[in-house]
Amino acid sequence: MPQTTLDNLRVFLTFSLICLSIALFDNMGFFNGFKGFFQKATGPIQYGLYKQSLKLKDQFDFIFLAKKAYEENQSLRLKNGELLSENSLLKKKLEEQETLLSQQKTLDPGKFNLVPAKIIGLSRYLYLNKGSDDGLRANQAVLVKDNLIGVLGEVDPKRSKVIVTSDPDFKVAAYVSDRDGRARGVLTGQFGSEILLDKMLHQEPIKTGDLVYSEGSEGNIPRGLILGVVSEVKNLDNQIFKQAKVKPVFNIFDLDIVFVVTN
Amino acid sequence: MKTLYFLLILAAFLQSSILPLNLCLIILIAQNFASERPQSLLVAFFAGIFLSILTAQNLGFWPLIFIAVVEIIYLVKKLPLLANSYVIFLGSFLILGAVSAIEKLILKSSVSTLSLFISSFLVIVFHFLIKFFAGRYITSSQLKLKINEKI
Repeated sequence: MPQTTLDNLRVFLTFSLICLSIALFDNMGFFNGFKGFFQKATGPIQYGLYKQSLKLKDQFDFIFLAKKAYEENQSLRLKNGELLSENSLLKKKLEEQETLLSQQKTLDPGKFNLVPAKIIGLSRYLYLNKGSDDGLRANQAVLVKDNLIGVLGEVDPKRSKVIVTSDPDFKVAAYVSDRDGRARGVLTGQFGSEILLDKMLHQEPIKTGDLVYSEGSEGNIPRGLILGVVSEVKNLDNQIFKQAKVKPVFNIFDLDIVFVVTN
Repeated sequence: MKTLYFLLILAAFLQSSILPLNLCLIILIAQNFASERPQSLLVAFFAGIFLSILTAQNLGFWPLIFIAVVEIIYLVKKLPLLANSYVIFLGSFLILGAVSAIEKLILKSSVSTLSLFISSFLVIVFHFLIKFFAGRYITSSQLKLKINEKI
């Protein structure tokens, strides 16, 4: 027998009333025991389903994680590269600052006007990144701390050439001073890293390990700059003068910044 | 009917453990749209009670929602435009949206629009599945009438 709309409504309203009553009684806690019993029975089933779903999720998660990890890896590589470049730049700047500071401590900036310059090349001559535009002129002394590296040769607007102490074209009056006295001579470069201190009198005291200083008689080179250290003394009686081999204190290849004395 | 009870129990377990969708409601809506039988208020009532126990809600909440939905579908089925799947999709979307609004009001739980769309789509899927499987085993009343006439 087909149901009429009124019958339907009656059934629906009956069910609604039952639901509302159940809701009210549940609020007051009448069904707690019943609910507890069923929840205890169905709890293990829910737990088992949940655990299985987690396992299944883990199986598929690696696909998404792999892609994400790849993208993250690429991004981190890029970032790492940028950071390395930045770090390298900062290190260079720090070294420059430290060199400047230590130079200022060694030579009084009040007496000498020092222009810092970077070494941009080294063959027979040393090349610097500063030139006449920065106040550099030929024959100006180039030093690091209180060690003479050489003198400027040709100077371009943005580039200069340094004749190093070991160059045969380099000649400077020098002396060696120790407790026994003073020996005077002329420092001349030989090819390679050798420097010769020549024209010393036999009676003038000099020994291995003594420091060789600049006389300052040329005018462009300050007095008292270290030119090197005596590595060998050649005292031949049949010669008028005695000679000494001098080794530079600094290895030019270790240098990054040098200073030019412009006044 | 037994299959429907089994499906609803399974859906209740899945809904309470794994899936964030209201599977029981989806199956009820699909079944009531697809079925030519009168509305199954008793099924909806017991499904609601079971779901309330599993989801630790008030015992009367889900039964009330389910029987209201079943009644609405029964009334809407009387309209002539229900042969169209788009209407079923729209109808289920509106019903699910209304249920979500009630959930937000009473249970303070928010539901995303995406899950509403997914649920409405699932209603269509289940609707056709139920129609397909129901059609294989139950002969239509028109066919029966023809056999009677011949005798």
